[in-house]
Amino acid sequence: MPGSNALRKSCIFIFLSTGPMIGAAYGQTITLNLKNASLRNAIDAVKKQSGYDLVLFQSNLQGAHPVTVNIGAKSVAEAMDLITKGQPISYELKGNSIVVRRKAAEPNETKAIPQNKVINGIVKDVKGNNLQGVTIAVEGQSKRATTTDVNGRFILEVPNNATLIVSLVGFKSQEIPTAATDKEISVVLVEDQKGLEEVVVVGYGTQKKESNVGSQATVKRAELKVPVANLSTAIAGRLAGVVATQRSGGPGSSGANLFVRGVSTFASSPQSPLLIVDGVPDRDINNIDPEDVESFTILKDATATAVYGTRGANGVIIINTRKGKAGKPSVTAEIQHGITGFTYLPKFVDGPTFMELFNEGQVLRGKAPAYSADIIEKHRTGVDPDLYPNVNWYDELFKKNAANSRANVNITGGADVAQYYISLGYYNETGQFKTEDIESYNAALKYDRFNFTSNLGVNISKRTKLDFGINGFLSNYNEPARGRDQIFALATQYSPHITPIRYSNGLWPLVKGTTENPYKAMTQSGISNKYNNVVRSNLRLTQDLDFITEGLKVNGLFAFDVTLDNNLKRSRNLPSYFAEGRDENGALKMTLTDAGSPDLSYELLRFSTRRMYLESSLNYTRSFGPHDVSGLLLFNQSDFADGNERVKSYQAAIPYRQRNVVGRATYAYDRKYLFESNFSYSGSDNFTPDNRYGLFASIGAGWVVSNERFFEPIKSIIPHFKLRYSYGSSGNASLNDPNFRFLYLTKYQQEEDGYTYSFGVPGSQRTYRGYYEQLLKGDVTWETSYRHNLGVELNFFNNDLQFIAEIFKEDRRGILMRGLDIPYISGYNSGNVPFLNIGETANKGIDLTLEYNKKMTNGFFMARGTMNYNSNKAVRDNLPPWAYPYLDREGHRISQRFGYISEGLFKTDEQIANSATQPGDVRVGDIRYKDLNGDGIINSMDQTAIGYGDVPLLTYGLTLGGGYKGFELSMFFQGVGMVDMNYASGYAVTPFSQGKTFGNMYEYVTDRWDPENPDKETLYPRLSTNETVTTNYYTSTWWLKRADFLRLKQAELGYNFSNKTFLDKLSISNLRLYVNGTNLFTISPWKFWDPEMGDGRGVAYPNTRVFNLGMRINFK
Amino acid sequence: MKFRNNKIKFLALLTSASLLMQGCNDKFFDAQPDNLLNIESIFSNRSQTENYWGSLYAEIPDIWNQPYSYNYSAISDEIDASNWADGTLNNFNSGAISSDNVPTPYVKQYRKIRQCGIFINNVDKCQELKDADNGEILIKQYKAEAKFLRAYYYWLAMKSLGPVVILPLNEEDAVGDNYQIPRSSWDECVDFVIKQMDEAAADMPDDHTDTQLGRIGKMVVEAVKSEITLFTASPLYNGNTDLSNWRNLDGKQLISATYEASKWGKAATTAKSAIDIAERNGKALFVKNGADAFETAFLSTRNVFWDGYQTEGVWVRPATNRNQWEISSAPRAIAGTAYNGLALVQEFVDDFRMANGQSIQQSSSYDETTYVKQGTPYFDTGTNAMYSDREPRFYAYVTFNGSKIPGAAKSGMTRVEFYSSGNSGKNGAPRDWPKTGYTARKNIHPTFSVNPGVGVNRVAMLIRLSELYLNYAEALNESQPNHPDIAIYLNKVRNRAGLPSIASGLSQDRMREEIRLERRIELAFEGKRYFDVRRWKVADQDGYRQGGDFYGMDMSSGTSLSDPSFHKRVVAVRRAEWKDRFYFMPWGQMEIDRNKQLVQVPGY
Repeated sequence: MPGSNALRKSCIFIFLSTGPMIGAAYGQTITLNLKNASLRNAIDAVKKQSGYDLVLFQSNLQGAHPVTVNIGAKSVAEAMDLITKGQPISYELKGNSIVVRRKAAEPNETKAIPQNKVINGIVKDVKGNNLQGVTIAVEGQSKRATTTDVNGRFILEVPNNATLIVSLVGFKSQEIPTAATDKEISVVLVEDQKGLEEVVVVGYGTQKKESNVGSQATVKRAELKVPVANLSTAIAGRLAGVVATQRSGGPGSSGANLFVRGVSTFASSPQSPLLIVDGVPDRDINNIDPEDVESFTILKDATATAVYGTRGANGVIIINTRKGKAGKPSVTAEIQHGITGFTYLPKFVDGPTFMELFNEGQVLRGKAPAYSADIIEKHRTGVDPDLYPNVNWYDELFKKNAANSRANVNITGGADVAQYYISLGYYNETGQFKTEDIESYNAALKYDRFNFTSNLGVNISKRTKLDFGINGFLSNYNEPARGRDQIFALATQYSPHITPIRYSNGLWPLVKGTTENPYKAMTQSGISNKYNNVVRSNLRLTQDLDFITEGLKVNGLFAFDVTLDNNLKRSRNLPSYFAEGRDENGALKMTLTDAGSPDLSYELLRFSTRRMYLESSLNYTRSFGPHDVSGLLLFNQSDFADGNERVKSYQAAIPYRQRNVVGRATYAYDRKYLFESNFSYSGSDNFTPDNRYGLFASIGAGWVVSNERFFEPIKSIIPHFKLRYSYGSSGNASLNDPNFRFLYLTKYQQEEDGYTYSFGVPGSQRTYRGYYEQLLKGDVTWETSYRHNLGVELNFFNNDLQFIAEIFKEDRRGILMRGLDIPYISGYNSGNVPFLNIGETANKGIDLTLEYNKKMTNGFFMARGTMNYNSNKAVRDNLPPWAYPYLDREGHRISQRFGYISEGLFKTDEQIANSATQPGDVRVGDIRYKDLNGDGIINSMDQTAIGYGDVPLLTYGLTLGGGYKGFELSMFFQGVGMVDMNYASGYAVTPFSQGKTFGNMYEYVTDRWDPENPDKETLYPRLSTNETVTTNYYTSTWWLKRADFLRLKQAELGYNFSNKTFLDKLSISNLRLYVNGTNLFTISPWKFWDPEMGDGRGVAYPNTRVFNLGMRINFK
Repeated sequence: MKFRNNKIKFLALLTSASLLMQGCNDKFFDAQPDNLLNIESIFSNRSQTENYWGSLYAEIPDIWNQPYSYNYSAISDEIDASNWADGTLNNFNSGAISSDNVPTPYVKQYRKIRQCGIFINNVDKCQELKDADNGEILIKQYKAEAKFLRAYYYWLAMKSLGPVVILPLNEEDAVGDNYQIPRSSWDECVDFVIKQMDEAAADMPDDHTDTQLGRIGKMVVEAVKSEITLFTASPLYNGNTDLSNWRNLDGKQLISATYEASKWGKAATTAKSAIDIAERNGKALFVKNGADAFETAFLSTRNVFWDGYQTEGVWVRPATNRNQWEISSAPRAIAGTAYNGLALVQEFVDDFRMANGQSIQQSSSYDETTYVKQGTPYFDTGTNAMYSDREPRFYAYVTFNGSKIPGAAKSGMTRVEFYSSGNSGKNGAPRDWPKTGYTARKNIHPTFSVNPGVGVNRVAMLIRLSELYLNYAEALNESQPNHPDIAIYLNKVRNRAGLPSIASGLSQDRMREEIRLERRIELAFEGKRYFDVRRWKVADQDGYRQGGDFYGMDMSSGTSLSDPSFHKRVVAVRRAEWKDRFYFMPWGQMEIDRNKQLVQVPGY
């Protein structure tokens, strides 16, 4: 192996051997039979047999003679005496080390050469843990170096008055002058945050940050520890390039919708990034305890994601869980408890107002009012709440506050042979729903979760490492049988004036033809209880192949995940009545309106999924002088059997299969010029054998300008300046709906109910159920993304200020869409026309990160701003050609909102007569629309692109943190911009869209057109009811309101106790107390409901505001 | 030693990895659904083939699934359902219907048209069916039915859209993917449909009964052709100069502006031929005898819907969601509380004649200000006199204040009370009350009850013999005004309903009015009125007016049965004024966007 020799020669220093011989008995006898062996080999043999450590400089062996000895069962000292006899060296046994020195030279030479001495030392971190693997080198004498052993100890022979450089990746290096007398030194290394990032997570591994040319971003664990159940909720705004929208809050809410660099494909395709946990794709990132996260990384560009082949186009999120750290056991416990409340909750009008407004909607349209004044007055005065009710549903349904708790205990430690990280977490959240005492069940809204993580690393041998990780959680979600968000929906559907919450005689009310009473639904409908059990396991074997060639490793990973969901539903519908009036005795006259089914039903649904993932890879990393090369060749395949509720057919139940061959090569010259190329050859079962495999590739290049010689003069100001660029392709392979697979096959299906026909006289009929084309086959293949990424990295002020800017541009082609341009007279329709690779989109934008970190004697200050702006575009959507260019969806943003342009309200009848005809009833005070095609009729031909849409184009975040002595304060602001929402849908928004007894109204409706004061600016136009169809509630610029917001998402004040004597008594090394708050305030022009909830009706459990008190303890 | 050890491990690892790759390589992606059907498999099996055939019928409308699924009564001058919130009904009645919100049943109809073609082209492949007893005959009949249905679905589309796009029969070959096809003219559409139906009839028996009830035979074909020819002769399609500019892009005129009297003649002969086949196969007007002539007429016109379908039903749909109709129209006084919502407008109530055949305007005994002293089997003592002494169908078809409960009564109740505080009035239910003070009563079985649920299983009659009689009388009155059959066939319908024969010597115009009135009453709520007022092109004229104000009794007043404050005509329903574009429904914008050859109805 000539390469290996060459390398050895160029080796800068010689490692001290700290092999796996710990615990071997010392002072054992030596047996040696050597003939003309090199002195070095002879000493090595003694070392090996004795188990002693060896302290030796190769240069000291200059001029040594070959050794020929025959030693039988001698002591170490005797053996060494024989070996070193006549050699130019002497030796000394110190403890369990053999220290070899050059024999003292002639006295006159002694004065010229500084005298050497042996230094014993120990290196610890700030918490007092011993650090292994720390490099101790002598300044100016790079060959003199060693590393610490598992106990953090080292021995090094150094010249007198030398300066030691103590360094370890992830820690700040220290320079220690050794005074002539120092024989024993103790060093404490401080963690260096920037240092930690020197290695970055990339697809299927890590890379040195310096040589990375791809686009990625990471977030620290501490920032993920927000009091929410879902990790996705915690990261919105933290990372440049992630667009996250949290559409609802409270117990059991799903996580945020995440988009890497916004949405870049049509809604029929998956728009979300690929999620990877511990190297295994498609693992959900929610429900992971943030405490267990080692790193959270997003990959954004083609170079970073091409290795994920058909899955990488929407970006990749990688989470690695924490691994064990060698050292004595370190136990950390954290507990926090908080109170939660809604951020926003719209208010409804009261019953009398509702009735008056309904009358107004009738009268203003020439129709009879529905309620007389004295009836309305009865509702107002509450003279008989059974017959003349007046209910504010939100007030009746919700408590002021709910609670939220989190606790975690973890322990990490280990020795050279094995390291462990074990963690146990608990999360609990309750909701603000009121409950009633019901003996047989508790329908409280709450969520509990237990998490566990256990990661073990075993060094089977010096070159073989086995990592076994297992993690999972068990969650239990409890809600009323009617469902969490359903309660909000019902409150917006239930009029305030039709029934009380419950009649005074104890019966439950219902008006026929309207919806269920929300209070009854919440407290009486039974329960739904969902257990989700998830266990994930990884077994990874890493084998160093440096005996073949240095830097080569082979790696195998097998992962197996199971999920089991157990959904128990026990529901009932208590009989409901309506009070028609009172009899002569004053008792309520009740009619049964729904006999219901008062017994609790029993329904148990179980869903289970199974994933198997197999990966094997060859890794190669090596440096040859100024040349750094690395390579990766990887094979993986996955097999996922979906057994979730969404699986409705056999085709959806067939396991999903994927297979990839992945490669990567990187080359760096002199730490200045960086090159990288990736490819993935991916196969999927989605396509015909002809189209089954796709090749995706990328190239990237970088230039570390700051490492150039010409840069030296300004390097003190700008220590780091890098430019990087990448281009490549990646794919997106499936549709959102699991019931649309095997798109290359035509599928017939038997007709549903309602599409059958019967023959025969009543009593002896036969029903015929035919067949229809559920889907026509299409010749389909991948959707492919082509992406450019250009990045600049700049550091200033001793690396305290870091700036990263990236611009990107993406073209997406071959997006799977239906060929919707075929007329329906063909007998086909949008439900069964084939999918084809016909869609095209484009996306471009910019990510910025600016970060400042400053450590001071007594504290620190940090600030980080991130920003992402992206602008996407539908390039080709294959809709039929439009009659007018302004109707064309192509050229606009993906999912662009289309609607009418409002020109204000009609002021006069002449104006109506002279304007284009609007369908339905049109009067003064109604919204006047612009007749874009000038045909005198307002219809869908007059719609055009209006506004932005409810996914923001601009996302930004600002994190501020500081510490002084023991105090720490941090604040995280999240903001979005260039987003708007349409306030014109939903029962509580559109007045009386379902008549007088169905639907509630938000109080915003009171700001309405007033015939007395027709010129006043109002939110609502002339009122109407469902009986008069108007055009007022069309999607139009009238109802479009900006929904930008800036929110103090998170703020925390903490104190770290430093009274050592007190803490020592409790065996605590560190104690931190903190208070924090989530969603503390929001600034937004959108006033109707929480702007983060998005478009639509404002009908969901809102995001919550949380105030938390917590404590974190590190035990000794 | 170590060196070698590692090497072995490495080799073992590599081998196992490559084995894994190799081992599953061949079949890894081969899993695909093995349960997928295709045309070949469907038509290889008799049961599947017959299922395919049977559901070719499935887009035949269920005319009693009212008011939502089949909504023609609620969007014409028959009934109002505006107390309930249905967007489609409101769009029609507010005049807001447009190409953006119009229902698009033609999507399903064209789907069936395609499926009929697929069936015709593939049924011969079914060896199992061929080998069955009478297999060849069955195949011939099935094919003929498919052929009829294909034409019938075109006809359904034509009824609402006017001239439609007719696809070539060998669609796949002729069209490929290019479905840019213009409308055919009305007359071309009719010629095509009639020709197809005639061809189909040649391979059919006259009628099917018992377990085959509902299948198409010659009798049904001829009855449908009677409707088609009657429409085609009518003013909307025959010499309509208002629409002479309705043309395809190439200038083809879609509706003829030239009146052809012969079209009425054809309508008359087709109606007669349909009547002949029906009568030859035993069809007659259903009669159920009662204690007297009045009760006989009442029972005959009421019970025909469950007892008389085999006698009178020319074309029946064996399965119907008649419960939707019964529960929507029956008053709250029904046991279990029905929805009390399908409200007859006063204008329709007024069209029912007195028992002696006079109109309420002609009758001297008609009185809205007094209350009857003595109840009858049809209403209670104290009922307003305006509801007394009316023709028998009034009591069979209309529920009014004081009438007996149409189904099973709530305990303690004997009559329907629509006055404000009454058992089916406005007080006591926030929305389940009829705005006009009347509800529809036709086709509600006397045992009907919501809770406990009681419903008599029955069929829906799509075409009754009485309709054919009226078709014939109408067509004959237009083509041969003095033909004796006009009065004969009109009187068959009148006499069965307990009305005296029509006075002799009426002018053609007077006779036309009588026939049209007879259609309105006899065929009430059966989905005919909406089309009749359109084809007659009279939707803006008195007596046929479809827009504007409609009257009713004052639902917000009244505390007793005989309370005059209730029996007061008030504007109950206000609909948009009629516009001529409402004569046809527009194609949905989706279709206009896709088929660039398709011209929209003028005015949309």
